Amino acid sequence: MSSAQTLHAQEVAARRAGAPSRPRRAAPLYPGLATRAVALALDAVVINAVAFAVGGVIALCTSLLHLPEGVERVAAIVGAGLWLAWSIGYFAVFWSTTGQTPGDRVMRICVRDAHEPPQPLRLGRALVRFGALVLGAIPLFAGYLPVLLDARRRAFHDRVATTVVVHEEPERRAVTRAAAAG
Amino acid sequence: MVRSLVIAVARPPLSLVQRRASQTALDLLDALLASQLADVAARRIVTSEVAERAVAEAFRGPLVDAVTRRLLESEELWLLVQEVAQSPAVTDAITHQGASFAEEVADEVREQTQDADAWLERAARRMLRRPSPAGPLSPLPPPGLGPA
Repeated sequence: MSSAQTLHAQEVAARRAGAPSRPRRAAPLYPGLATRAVALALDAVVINAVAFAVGGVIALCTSLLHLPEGVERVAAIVGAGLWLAWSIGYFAVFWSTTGQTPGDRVMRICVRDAHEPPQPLRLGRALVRFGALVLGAIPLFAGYLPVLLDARRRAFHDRVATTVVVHEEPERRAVTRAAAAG
Repeated sequence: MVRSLVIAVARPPLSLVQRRASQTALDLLDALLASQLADVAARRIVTSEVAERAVAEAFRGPLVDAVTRRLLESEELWLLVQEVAQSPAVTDAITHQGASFAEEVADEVREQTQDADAWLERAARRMLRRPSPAGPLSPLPPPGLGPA
């Protein structure tokens, strides 16, 4: 058992024994640059892990066929296209349905329409947001820098798509936890 | 003939004496065990150096090794271990512990990144000499702004 697990086990035991656990701070309304960067990194891990797994299986299978070089080049271009489509679809579908990618879910943040009253994003707006995210990422992620100065911590792609990233409501967290506990 | 007759006559009283003697001995033993004397004696034996030496000797000897070897060789032991490992209580406990550990780690990461958010923002504002706003750092979102 690692030391972290030991510490955790001790904390759980202390909690069961009635000792008060360390209080958690309330999250601010809008998540900042580090939180959003971690969420994006987690999404990148998910996207690339799936892409590598699928691509690896396909590459192994095609390696048995001894395809000519021209066909391999076409297959690589098709693969890149599929990877792009998968990335776009991943963000667009999650943003326009739950408002959260898996990375956002871990960091407990979600994307919302910046207009009042706040509504979930439509698919078109989600696609615009993704396009702006890519544009903002090209100059060394400079599109994320406005988060540091904006009053609502909006990045370039948030301004383009008129969206805002917020922390999950605490009530929703409580409901989710209660449902998970059964 | 006479000898057989004597034996036949003498046997029942002898066995009766034996039974009575046994019963008396057992009664005595019960009384002894019920008394404080037995407690004191047992405690002295357990705490005595002789007992310690005996136990140490037993562990040094081949008996423990043999018992351990036979236990490890027995199929029943491994069946028992397998049963315990596959029991719903154990698997539930492992799953629950793993999930709550992951949740704890995620909580810690979230807290650390919130600190980093504030630090980065302060640094950027200091660098650009901008006043820090009060808006984003309000503790909780308004009710309507959460996910639908």
